[in-house]
Amino acid sequence: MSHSDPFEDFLSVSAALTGFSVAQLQGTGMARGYFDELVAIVGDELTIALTREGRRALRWPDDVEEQLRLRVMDDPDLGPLARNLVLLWYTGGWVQLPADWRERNGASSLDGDRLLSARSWTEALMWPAIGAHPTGAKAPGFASWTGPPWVGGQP
Amino acid sequence: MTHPDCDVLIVGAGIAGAILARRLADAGQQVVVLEAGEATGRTWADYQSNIATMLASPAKVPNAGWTNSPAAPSPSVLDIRPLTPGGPPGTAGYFVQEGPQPFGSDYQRSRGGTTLHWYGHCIRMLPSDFAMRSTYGVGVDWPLTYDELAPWYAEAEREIGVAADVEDQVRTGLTFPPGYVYPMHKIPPTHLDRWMTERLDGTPVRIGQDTYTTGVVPVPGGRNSTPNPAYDGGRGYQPVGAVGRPTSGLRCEGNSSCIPGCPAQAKYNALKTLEAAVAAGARVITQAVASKVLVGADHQVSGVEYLRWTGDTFPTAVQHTITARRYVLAAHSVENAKLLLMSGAANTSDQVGRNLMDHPFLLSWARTDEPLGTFRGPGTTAGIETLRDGPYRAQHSSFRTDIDNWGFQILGSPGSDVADAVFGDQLFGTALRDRVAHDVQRQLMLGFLLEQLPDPDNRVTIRPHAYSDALGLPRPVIHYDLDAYTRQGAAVARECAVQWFEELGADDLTAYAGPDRPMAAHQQFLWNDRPYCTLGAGHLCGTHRMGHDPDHHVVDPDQRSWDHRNLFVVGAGSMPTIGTSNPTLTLAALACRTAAAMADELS
Repeated sequence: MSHSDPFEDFLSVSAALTGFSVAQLQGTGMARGYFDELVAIVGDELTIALTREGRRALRWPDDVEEQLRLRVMDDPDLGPLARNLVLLWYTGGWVQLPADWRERNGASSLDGDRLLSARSWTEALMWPAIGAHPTGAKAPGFASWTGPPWVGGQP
Repeated sequence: MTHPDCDVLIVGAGIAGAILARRLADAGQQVVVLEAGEATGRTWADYQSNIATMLASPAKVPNAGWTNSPAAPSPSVLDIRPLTPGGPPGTAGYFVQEGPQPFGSDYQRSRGGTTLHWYGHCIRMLPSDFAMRSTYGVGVDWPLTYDELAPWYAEAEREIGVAADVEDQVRTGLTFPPGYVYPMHKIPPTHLDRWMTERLDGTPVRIGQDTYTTGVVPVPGGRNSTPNPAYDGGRGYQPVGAVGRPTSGLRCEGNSSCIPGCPAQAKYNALKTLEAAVAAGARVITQAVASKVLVGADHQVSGVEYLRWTGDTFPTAVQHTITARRYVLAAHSVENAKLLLMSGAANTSDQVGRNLMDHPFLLSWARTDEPLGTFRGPGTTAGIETLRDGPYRAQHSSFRTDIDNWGFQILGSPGSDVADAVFGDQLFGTALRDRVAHDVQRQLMLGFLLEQLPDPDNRVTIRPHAYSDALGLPRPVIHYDLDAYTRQGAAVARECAVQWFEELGADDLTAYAGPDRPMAAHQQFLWNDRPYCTLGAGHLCGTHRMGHDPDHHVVDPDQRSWDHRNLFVVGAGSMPTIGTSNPTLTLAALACRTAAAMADELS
């Protein structure tokens, strides 16, 4: 039986959920912090359930999307966690989990709407996703704005 | 007579106070500046700590990152709440909102003032803006003409360091002396600017029965660009970098964060002028809230009382009095009015606090079928600038139109696009990434700055016993409404947006009513049975207007109090009308003019 590291699984699942590579996620410098944050908010058990089910979905490379949907996104407990994790990676912010989820699984005092930090803003994946830099940081330089858009050319 | 403590006492370390301090100190006067707020941005490290706070703030509103001390509170747009007709006033935050419309603008009380988070537009007012009554029969005329103010506009453009090209600006109806050039060339146009120019510049647009030409014109910016070697008779211009780190900010780096703050200080802020003022000998005392203008039996101001405070949560203060040969209130439109009302000074005309004006800011937004390069560069580098004047001004507001380089940021983008895709459409993985890229790249936002006429009932008052701050000083009570002139202007602006979106083949998404609108708490109104919503623009004007008649005006054309001839009340509050230009350049020009008059008199 292979031994699996929940953090390694967290990275692989995060990559599949966000559409970015593990290397890109590692490059933000936020991965360990987000993993720890998830554990702090929802506990070990649900975090490991999420990474375990995600790892299982990733065993079918040709069918990852459907497998993730079945095993994670449509699950009443793991789905909301996964969507919050995607939002965290993309925006740097956490939003409170749904009321029914909180009733079933317990409500942490950390489970509230917030931007985690200045770095979670500057490392948010929405910026590279939209072909931009984070507002207020990583300035691309004088006149960098004059050229054609960096992404989004597809119809 | 005892010897005064200084030659010139200035209340307020924002752009107006800084310009006066610098110029009067350069003229050899002993200058003291009292600043109510904290010593923000005195060093590069200080400034960067504010930028870090800004980045960590969940809502990137103008005041995000800048200090808000209980002893010198600033209004925040996050404190705006809907008001019920006939209901109690809104008391969240610093302002007391009497309505009927909530007043939607803020300002910043600390060293550097609101230039810490201004947009940076440096647009001269049009010649007709100074003569609304005689030209269109509405509003009032200024006691100054454009031609009289033009040399002072040039001074302000030097002080701020404005990037623009004269050949663009003459298209808006402005005139310049032969050979005039701005200190720096215009900020290079964004991809969106060129996209809009190719598709919209020169196209017809209808207002009522008349046809006008749509002009897409670069906006002059107070941000560092390529110096124009022809400036100053061929002497050129040296851009001014950041305070405490002069090698930073010599060009706009594209942080896309003019509001809430420019991390590089490539965009001008008053800290730069203050640094020069201090080098010339001016003294700035922070955490010093002016609490009373003292007036002697001879009607001259005899001193200013101020509270020097310490402590963040429960501030304590010690009262001092300072005397000078001349006194200047440069504390911002609302604070100038508040201090005069608290002091019972300078108000024979009964106009102190009245005629409060802003640019009600109407948004219109659409989805294009091509990517636009959103979220890159300064917030606005071009606008539709050819509808700022016309015969319609007899009937309704004119307006200028910002073309927004930051997509639907003001509606919460790109975070709101992510949330909609994740929670609404249940997207994840590459489908999510593609969706967000596709949608955000096609966001076209236009922002209309609507002219508002002076109305004596739009006003700042005080009720010291009912509403006070942590030092026991009165909070501003604001009565504010939008009249038919402005509401009709909003309707016309909206019709222009519809025509432009049609011309561009863009899918109009604008919706003003409904619970999901992020601006639901702001100024909502019906006009001809249609809903509209406007935000504040942060362009507070008119509260101590200038004019030739002591019975109807607070200050004379030099911004000198008609009641107390050793007192000057300066800033956008002196502006009798607001026009459609963002007012900072105009108030800076007026400050340069007043500084020259004071220096002449004192020397």
